[in-house]
Amino acid sequence: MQKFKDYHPVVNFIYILIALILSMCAINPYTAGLSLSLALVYGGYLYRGKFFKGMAVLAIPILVSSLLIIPLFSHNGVTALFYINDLPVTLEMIFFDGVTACMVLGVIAWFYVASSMIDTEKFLYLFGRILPTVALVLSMALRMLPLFVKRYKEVGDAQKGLGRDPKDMSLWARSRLAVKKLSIVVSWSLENSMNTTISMESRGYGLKKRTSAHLFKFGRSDGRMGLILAVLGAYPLVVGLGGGFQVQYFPEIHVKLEGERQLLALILMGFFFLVPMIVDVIAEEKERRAS
Amino acid sequence: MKEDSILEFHQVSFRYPGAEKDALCDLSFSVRRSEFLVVAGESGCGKSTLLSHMKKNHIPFGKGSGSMTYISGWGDRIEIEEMEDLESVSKIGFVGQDTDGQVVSDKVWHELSFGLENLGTPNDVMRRRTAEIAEFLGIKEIYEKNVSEISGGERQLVVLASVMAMNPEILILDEPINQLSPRAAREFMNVLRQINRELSTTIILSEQRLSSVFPYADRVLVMEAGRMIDILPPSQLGGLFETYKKEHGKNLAIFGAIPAASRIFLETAKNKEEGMPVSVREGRSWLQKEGPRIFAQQKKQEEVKKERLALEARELSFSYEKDVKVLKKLNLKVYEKSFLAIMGGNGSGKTTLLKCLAGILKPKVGKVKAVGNVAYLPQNPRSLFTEINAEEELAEVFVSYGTGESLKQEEIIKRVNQMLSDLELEDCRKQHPYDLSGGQAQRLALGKILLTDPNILLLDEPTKGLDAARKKTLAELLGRLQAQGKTIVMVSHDMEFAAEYASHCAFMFQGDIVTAAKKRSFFLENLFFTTETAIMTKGILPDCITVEDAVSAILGGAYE
Repeated sequence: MQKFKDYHPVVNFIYILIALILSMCAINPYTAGLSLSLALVYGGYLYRGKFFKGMAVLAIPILVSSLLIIPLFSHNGVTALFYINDLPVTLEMIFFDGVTACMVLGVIAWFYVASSMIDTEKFLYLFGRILPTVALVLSMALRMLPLFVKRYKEVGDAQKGLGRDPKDMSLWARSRLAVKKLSIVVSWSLENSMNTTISMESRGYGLKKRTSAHLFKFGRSDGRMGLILAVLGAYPLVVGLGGGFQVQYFPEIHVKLEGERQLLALILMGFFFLVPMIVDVIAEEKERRAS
Repeated sequence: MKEDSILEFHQVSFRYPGAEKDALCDLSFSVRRSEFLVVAGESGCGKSTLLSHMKKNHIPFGKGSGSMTYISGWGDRIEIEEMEDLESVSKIGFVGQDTDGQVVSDKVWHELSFGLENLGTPNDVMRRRTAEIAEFLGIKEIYEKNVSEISGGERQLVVLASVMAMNPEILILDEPINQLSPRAAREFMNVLRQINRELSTTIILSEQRLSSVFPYADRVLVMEAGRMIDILPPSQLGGLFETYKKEHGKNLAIFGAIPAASRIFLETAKNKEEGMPVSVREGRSWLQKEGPRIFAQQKKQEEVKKERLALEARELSFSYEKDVKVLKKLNLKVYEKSFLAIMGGNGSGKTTLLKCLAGILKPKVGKVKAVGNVAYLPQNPRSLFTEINAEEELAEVFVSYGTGESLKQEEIIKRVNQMLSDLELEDCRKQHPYDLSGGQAQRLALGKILLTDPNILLLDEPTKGLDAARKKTLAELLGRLQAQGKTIVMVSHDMEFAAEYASHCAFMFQGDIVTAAKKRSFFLENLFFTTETAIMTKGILPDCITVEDAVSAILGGAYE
């Protein structure tokens, strides 16, 4: 059994896309809460403490600004909690800002989770079909970075060999040396890029419209997973995009769940958000039993 | 019967813009279909220019005349310059010497697909081609790896495979093994032979280290100063060398680069026309059959002097990562004014040892004790160059980073000028360091580290990529430095160079020094890790480790 990230990039991509649309289709406390909490659950499962630390760093400024600062300057709503300079700070505004913040954090959390599913390889594949040149540039950049680092080390060793060890230097001298090393690496790499150009040209770069190679295969399990996602995601999408999750904040708050339509959509949405987690847990369980 | 050619050059001449002499001068020859052709000549003789005339997009700007013709399997004749781009790309493949610069993508499999992607090949076809080529060339273990994780030799194989994926009829390689270690070079050459034999791809290759490629060649095209001297199978080159020597009073420039067996043959054989040996096996059987037999062991005594230590390493251990020891309790002694060559395969820890001796890396355990200043010359001189011309490059050494004392302007100019004349670089003092030739760039880098006034010089593969003549210049320079009292430690793959010029040799294996001895006993007592001459003459001639030894043994011996 494979983990969710082992599915075909298209499946992963569709999942993330739907998850983001569902999270953003309305500023609704139920959808925002559901999206954020389940993203946190899966993120926590994937990355443990690291994830929460990362999220907290982002959450604190967002929450501070939306709950404490914006309500001071925006005064919509009828329920005044207290007055500052004769202007009301309203319950409606604070509530609205809180929900918005949850929605934004949910989206961020899903992006975080997405990075576990879509690595550079998959990214290249997904966007290489639409923009082959961009894919090539990305691939070249990924090739250049380690080369750059390697050369920087080599240059550093050569400078140490001349008796210039940053350890024995003042901060000023050290940064001057760093600039020098960087400039060596840059001119070296520029010179080198001539060879790259010739090598690319010899292999026919620019002759025809490029295709982009990849090693992914769309298998049956990918089809099945796609179907599951479609079944779970379709109805909430229809409801969400059709404005079914719109709620009223001003002048008064009306956020009651109205009718079975919304409830069903929310339930399906919850399951949709849980799919990768369920898949991963099952995969892990099977692996444990097998070993 | 008419010769089946695939490529014909007819009176080709070429001159670079602004040059005073032709880079190529009236070349006419044809390359046979499925042939393995080696283009030989010293650096700067026009090898690269010649090869670049064989593929449309490589033809340089300048004034050219004559015709280059590609002949297809059906007998159609097409001028190289008028070839369709698509045809040129898929019929003629080109591999250069720079293993880093030629690779475009980050993953091996992606690199293999690069050419096919450019031709708009569908993914399933690419998958099949790249899988086929990876299987054929034996690189399937690295198929899914990052390009930055594999060795230089593997990278060059990947470049080759990427070109081969387009199934070219002609494969042109411009000094492809120049930057590779002997072992990686041998693997690369074996792969080329396999391509040539099993796919019947025509191969045209230029190289300076001819000893590594002669055994593979069907024919050799010998060049000198832009002219073609002749095109012959390697075993028949003897006559050519002889005639040239008679006419010009000196050897062909490539003499120093051909296999040791060939050189010994050329210096001593009576009939040089036929049967020049190009490998140790051929050399040995020639010696058995025709050569002298001197069984008297006239062992050359190596003088034993009291020597003082210049550099000592005691029980050095080093590791980059946990649990992977690169150096293992290594002991080393280097004597004053000696020239030690440390040899060993890739990954044996040679360069790490050198960096520890230079103080660039700090050993985890153990000590390095040096008498006086130590200086380190990196393998690639470029990693030292920052300035816009040679003289400023040298002066840059005196830029203070708060670690040494600073000198007066006049004193700096004096020292720089002195160094430029010592290294015979006065003519190119105003040239950009990147525009210098390989040998000059290396001398400039050496000059830079010499200005730090070291007693001990540590050199990382100083002979890499140098042709025979430049190696000799380097050896003379090192000899002068030694005479001035400097101690030299070199890490190298070049046994021939070590046998000729070093005083001591050490063999490194798996992070430790297995043997360290004076060079003569080192090479004579090693069975496998020794020079070609030593293997070829063992038991036939006494105590020979260099070509000169063998030649003087034969000429001075019982050979009539």
